[in-house]
Amino acid sequence: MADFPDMDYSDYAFAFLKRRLSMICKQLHIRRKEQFIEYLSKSAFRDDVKTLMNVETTEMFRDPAFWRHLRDQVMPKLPEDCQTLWLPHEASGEEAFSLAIILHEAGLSDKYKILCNNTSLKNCENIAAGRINPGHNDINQTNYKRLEDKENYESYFEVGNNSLTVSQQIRNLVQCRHEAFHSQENSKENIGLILFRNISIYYNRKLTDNTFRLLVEKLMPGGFIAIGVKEELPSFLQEELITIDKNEKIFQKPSRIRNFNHV
Amino acid sequence: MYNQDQTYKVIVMGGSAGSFSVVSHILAGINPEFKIPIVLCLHRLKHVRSGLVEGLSLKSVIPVVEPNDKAKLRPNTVYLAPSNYHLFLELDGSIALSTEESFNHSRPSIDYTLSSAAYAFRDRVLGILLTGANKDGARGIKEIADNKGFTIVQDPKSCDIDTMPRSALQLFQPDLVLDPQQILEFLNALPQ
Repeated sequence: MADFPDMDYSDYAFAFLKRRLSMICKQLHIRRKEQFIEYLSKSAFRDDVKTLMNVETTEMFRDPAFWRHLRDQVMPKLPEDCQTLWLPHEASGEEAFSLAIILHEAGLSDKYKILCNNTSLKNCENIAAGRINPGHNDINQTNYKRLEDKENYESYFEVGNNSLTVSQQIRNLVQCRHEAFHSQENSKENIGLILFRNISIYYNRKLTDNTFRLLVEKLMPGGFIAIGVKEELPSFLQEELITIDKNEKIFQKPSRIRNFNHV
Repeated sequence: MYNQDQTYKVIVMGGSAGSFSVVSHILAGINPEFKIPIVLCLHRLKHVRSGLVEGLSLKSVIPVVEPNDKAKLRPNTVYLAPSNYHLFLELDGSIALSTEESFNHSRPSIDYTLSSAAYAFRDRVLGILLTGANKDGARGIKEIADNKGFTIVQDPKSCDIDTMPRSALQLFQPDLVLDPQQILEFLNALPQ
């Protein structure tokens, strides 16, 4: 798999790879390893594998307390020249659209661009079309209510027969790039916020360390990064970043580089 | 079969929300020096992040924690699967959390935790399935038995809701079927 673009999963956690590949083979009716290898030459099959390797966000506004903190404590303090809010690995659009609704309600939708990346063409197309898992509608709505205590949720969606689509107004705020975030050149995008929640739980330690190093490098000084509530920053970053909220796992890159060797 | 010289690397215990009182009873009476790490997977509300670990800690004589992803299992500690995450055990003895799809309508899924323990620890795992209202956990504890681990299922007669243990007993014959007090006594008699 690693011979194909954006399909190097060798530094993913072993247990995850084992069960995910087993699920993929079952879903795509692959019975033998040789069959899997043969099909890898077809780009449509590779995209199916990449799509299924992505773990969907479980719901919109997962951890409402996190979103409340982000809205009330972080958004007002984004660096002055921040232009981009970045979700480097967005599988289902649910995090990006949650953020878009927060921006919209705060009257900030003209100020920032929400950018997300995904290596699966199918996932990018779904995000561009605003398609959300309709099975998540009830929990999305409950989370929104716990976050906002408002009745606006339904105004952001078009509900069809077995479909749930984010309104044009909200999905226009999100841009999805069909490329791996590792390869993306975005040094000029002034990234003031990175949401990378519950992604590194599928990585091994080495990939986790390398990824966080890369993300923090791409974050502008004074910018914020949020990870999953049960994830931990690598130890070398725990000293480098400022902890904004230890429960919701929000951290800030100092405006000026801290020199820890000089006490 | 039970080998009294066998030392287990981990104990994995599953039950639904109703097993709280059973787990609490076990953790209150267990030897405070009990060394083998205990991994607990209990069905719980997805959107309530706190309360359960605090509730168990009130009576437990050994520390109860909700682990972060990649935490290493340590002796004399109880690890409770966090709400809205699956908990897997890795070959290196670390914990891997996941937000993958619910399984048996559950996240955390007991089947997932028990199956991963069976794969990672083989005959060095002791699995315990407690009272519960659905069949989640039945396949997982059977996998522990299939991998030559030791298995205990709570006696359905001692359960408030016995769907979970009965589902397991329909699939295989565990090494022991015990009530909560007997489970506690069995654990306290284990070589450390």
